[in-house]
Amino acid sequence: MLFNSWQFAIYFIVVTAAYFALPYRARWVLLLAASCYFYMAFIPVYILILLFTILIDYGAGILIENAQGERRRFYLIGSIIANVGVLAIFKYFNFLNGNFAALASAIGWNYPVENLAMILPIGLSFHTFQSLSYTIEVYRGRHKAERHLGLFALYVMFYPQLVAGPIERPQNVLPQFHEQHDFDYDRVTSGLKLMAWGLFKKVVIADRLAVVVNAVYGDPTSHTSFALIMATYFFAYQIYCDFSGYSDIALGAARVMGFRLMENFNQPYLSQSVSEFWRRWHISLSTWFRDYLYIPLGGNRVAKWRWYLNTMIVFMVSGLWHGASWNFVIWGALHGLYIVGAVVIGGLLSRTVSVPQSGPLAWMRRAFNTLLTFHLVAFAWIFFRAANLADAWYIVTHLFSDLQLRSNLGLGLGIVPALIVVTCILFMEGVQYVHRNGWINLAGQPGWARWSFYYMVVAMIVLFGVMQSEAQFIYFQF
Amino acid sequence: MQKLLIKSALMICLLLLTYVTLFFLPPKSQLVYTSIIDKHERLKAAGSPKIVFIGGSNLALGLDSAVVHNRTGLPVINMGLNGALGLRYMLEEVKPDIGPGDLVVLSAEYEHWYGSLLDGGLNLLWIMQIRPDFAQFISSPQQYGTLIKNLPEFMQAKFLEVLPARSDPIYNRSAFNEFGDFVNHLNLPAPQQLAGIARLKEEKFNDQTLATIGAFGKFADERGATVVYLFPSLAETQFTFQDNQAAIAQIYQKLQALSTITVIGTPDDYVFPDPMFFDTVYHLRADGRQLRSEKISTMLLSTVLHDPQKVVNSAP
Repeated sequence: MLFNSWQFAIYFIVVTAAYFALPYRARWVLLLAASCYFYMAFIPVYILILLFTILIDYGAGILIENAQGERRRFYLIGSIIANVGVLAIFKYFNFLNGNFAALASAIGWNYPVENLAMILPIGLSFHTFQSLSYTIEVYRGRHKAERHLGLFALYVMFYPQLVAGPIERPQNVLPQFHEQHDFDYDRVTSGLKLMAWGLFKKVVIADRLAVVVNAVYGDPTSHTSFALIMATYFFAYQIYCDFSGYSDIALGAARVMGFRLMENFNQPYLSQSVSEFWRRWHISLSTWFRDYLYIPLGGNRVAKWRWYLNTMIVFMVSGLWHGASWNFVIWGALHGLYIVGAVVIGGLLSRTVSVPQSGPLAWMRRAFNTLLTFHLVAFAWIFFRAANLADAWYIVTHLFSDLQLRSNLGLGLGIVPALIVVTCILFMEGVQYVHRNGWINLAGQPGWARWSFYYMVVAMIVLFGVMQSEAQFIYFQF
Repeated sequence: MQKLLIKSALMICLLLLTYVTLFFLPPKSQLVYTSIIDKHERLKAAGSPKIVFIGGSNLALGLDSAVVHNRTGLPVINMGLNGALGLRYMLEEVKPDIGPGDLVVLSAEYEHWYGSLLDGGLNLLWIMQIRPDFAQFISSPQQYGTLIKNLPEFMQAKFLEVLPARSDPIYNRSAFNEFGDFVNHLNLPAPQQLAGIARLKEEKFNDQTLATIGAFGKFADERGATVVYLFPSLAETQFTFQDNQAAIAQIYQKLQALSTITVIGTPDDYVFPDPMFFDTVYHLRADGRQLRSEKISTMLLSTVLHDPQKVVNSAP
């Protein structure tokens, strides 16, 4: 069941109405049942994987809390092996097997192991990481083991964030399941507005851009450099609006029922460096890797070469988290290189050039940094989006080989829709910038101004949003 | 809660008002579907006997009616416009103007046989906008279902259509000649890959299509007209794609069983190499269109029109 479907609209209304109608004590049962239904709407049998993860980590949490010394570590490692094992089988087996087969073939060995014929469970990496964060936090003594199996199950599979995050920490979400949330008009409307904003980003911007991106990246050799460049820019905004749109809907849906999920995006394309980008993009994953991989590896409190290595490891693992292919590994490695490169070059520059901190030159520097960061990130997206390494390489090597503008400026989208969608991107970034900087408080504006804004957003969803139900969220596949 | 419900209802009312306003804004006069007005005028003016071609865009873009007219000596009206109007609608809209001695040449796209295109799609709503009185040609509940189902997407298309923009340089009303043939595309280059290559059997075979054609044949017979069925022009890649040949053979086999119409030629007769097509697997360019029109004329003359008087004299 996709957030951008009529089925979800009905589901959401029914579940939310029932949530507020039920007495507090029964609400977790409803949410758990609703979450099971939500997940089973994709591939029902995969609920068993979730059940396995829930039971293992529920048990591990209690065992870790009750154990002493090395036993605690033993149970934690058990939990990690079980979780990563699930990922290894369902997500990485075929990738590893394919690589072994290629290697064996290269050296003339007979390698008889066949690939597994199965579909990747939806959102597997998200709920596995969320569940893992629970056992790690219990191990670190930062959170008490949850005794209520139902509430723990809800922590792993709370439907708004079940299939694409945000990847929550137990400290933030689990206590909220113990609280009573009454109907609050301001909170409910705020949640609904956030959902509408997320839907706007998804169906008006992301899915429109997808028309061009899919056509060009589906057959890059048939397109000019202009098309390749535009499709790459468009993909940068497609994936941002797709994923942040999903996150907004998730946060909004949870907020309607009184739950506060963590912010996952903070206008990442306005970042002035790649490291800042990662503090603003998919925040719940970046902080997960920071807390559970980067810092345990030593973070930056090690020798310089080791720090660079740690950075590269984290980003390459992050790439692999996104998908079992070399494209994702290269995408992650590029980000790692950007960050290491920035540290090296930044260190050299700071010793030779004095950088103005205020005035027009400082403003120009910030603008340049923002543009440069956006282009570096957009370049890396080529590897993320291309169907395979060969396509990615073709695109990279043909970005500037044929820069003639052809008649098809609408790139298959049509000139007017293309202009509308670009206007919508500027509108979205503008609104978010104004909102985050507190320049205009929409709630404090006169009714006609607020309603004009709401009407415009909803009307654009209805009149310009892509309505095909197969327009799945990109991050669902991870 | 009450406040929330009232405000939600208000927003819904505003959206409905937008919908209604948008729906009743007249479409641009150059919109390609407005050519339905010209086609109907021609159909009415032609009298009987005449040759009427019925089908979707395979006829609009892939028939040179002048060739057929010159070879047969009969007035030709090409009613072909768009497959998504639905075969059921296409057959109904010509019924009032079918008279004794007429030859109706039916050439439905294969999607009318597989799936639900028999009842039309979004584009049928354009016709209802342009000529609300043509609602009289909506003859089945399934068509109403199609209209309702496609309304949200239609409103999106209407929203883009009413925005100030240059009309489509290719697909517009002026692109049709005096016979109703579309001519803007004829000398445009062939694309590297044609649109619409798909497995026909992805959709279920629609038995109602056969029944609808059969019923139309009976109607025409009662009016003293003759109905023949021609297979649409089709790009070779689509014909040979997966099990499409078997899917098309099934249509051919089913049509053979109909007693009220005559099938002329086989599907293979109208399969052309890909470079002869303009954008989709049905839309022939100039050379393919010429070839097909010659072929159709020859086939009509060697079968139902081998003695043109036969058709004319079949009037009661």
